[in-house]
Amino acid sequence: MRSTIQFGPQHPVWIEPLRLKLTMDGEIVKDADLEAGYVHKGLEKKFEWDYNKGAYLSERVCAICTQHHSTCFCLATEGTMNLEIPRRAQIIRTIMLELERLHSHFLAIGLTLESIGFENLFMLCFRDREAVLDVFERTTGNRILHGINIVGGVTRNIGPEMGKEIMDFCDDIEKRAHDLEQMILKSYTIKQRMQGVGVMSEKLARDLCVVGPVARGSNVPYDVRHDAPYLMYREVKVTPIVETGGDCWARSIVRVRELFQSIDIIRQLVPMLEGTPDELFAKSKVLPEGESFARVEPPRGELFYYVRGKKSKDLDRVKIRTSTYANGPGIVPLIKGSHLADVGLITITFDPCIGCFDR
Amino acid sequence: MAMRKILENIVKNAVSKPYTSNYPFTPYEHFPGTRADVTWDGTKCILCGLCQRSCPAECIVVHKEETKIEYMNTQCIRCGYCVRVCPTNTISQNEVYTKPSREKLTVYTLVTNENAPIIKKRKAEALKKSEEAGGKPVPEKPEPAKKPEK
Repeated sequence: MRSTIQFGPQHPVWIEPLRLKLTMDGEIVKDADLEAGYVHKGLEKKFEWDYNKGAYLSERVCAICTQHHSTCFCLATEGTMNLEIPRRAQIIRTIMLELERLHSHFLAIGLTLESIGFENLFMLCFRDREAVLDVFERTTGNRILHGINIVGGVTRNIGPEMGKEIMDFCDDIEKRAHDLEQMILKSYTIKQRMQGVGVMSEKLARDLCVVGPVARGSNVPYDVRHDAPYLMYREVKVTPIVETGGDCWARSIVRVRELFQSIDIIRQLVPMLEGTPDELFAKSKVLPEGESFARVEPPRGELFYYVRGKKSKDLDRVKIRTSTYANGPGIVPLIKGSHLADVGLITITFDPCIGCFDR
Repeated sequence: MAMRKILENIVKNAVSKPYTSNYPFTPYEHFPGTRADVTWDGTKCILCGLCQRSCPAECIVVHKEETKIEYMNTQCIRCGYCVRVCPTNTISQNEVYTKPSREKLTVYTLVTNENAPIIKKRKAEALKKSEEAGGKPVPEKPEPAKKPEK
């Protein structure tokens, strides 16, 4: 006998509303419907105003990858004005991008562990995340909505003292991340729970065009930082971290390994600040005209902004394609045929950000 | 091995001080340079209205006729854009947060700058009037109707 179960919109696994309509045969999921749109805000329409305010608005699309959203918007808008931002501003933006990835991955790993009932390690993850947020408050003035990106550069400088502080922080956080990695890798319980659950084959990943750690967990080496470098990634080379398993374990391990990659990139970037002229902002002489797009790599995968100007301060059109929007179709084929108890775990390893999904 | 590490952590946390702070009783201490709400200096402002036009949250209203600036504290997103665009460095950003509230906590700032175009114009008009009236002293500036301040 088949029965239908509503999974969501309010479910303890997710922090945001998403609805799955599951058709069950006993314990096995036979069919699934994904329904989103509970937090649709109509932000793309709101973007048709002053482009200087747009940088602040773009941070509000998603509260976890704020820096990535505003950087992508600024890059696209600078593209319409053919504006080259100063080198120091580029370095500061890239440092912030990598710090953002650190805190997002700590959050994602913590939530994954919480979904399998490992609350102790979840708390440890969030304690480490707090250290990253402290650095954000120290450097940008705010914990989550940093507001340092503007079209043409950044508003706050990172001086030599702050640079040293960030380097010290890197040593500290690497030790903590190493502890976390050891605890996760050597834990028999976590391995048994996550290995072989929700396997996404390489072919399926390529067919559905999934991005980010979901793709990299299924042996698809796609990383915008490597394939289409922007900002300082032209100089700091990034090799995509790839796992071959394709299951929940592989997707989580990609995130754990990317923590160390991010720390490594920050370590390479901070010394570049020395000797760079103290120029943070380049003023544009023209207004946005024509169209342009930009791609960056947030913690969840590729993010895309399209901007069209009409030779006035107001923008004509802004289109956003977020990473969770690209990953969303991957959820349904994975939970088909899985146990009901695994549905929460499989969806949370996609690191779904429904604020991005609906915009 | 992993179990040993976890047990080690448990023992360490059992004897050490709690990592979390006793929040409502011990207030959270912000780092220097935190962006919080903004204040106006009434002696510097020229009532140009740039801050009102630049504010993404539309929480600033410049009343030119009443020479007043209205600032809705809880509507502000603390982005600091108004501080950046101000031509006379009137606006300064504080480092102390206001507690969350259900009300808008509107703050009014009265502008007394002599160089503000509107105040200058009024002064000139008042002077002209007094000359026409035959040297009879007239109050420098007509007092605007006062709104209830919170």
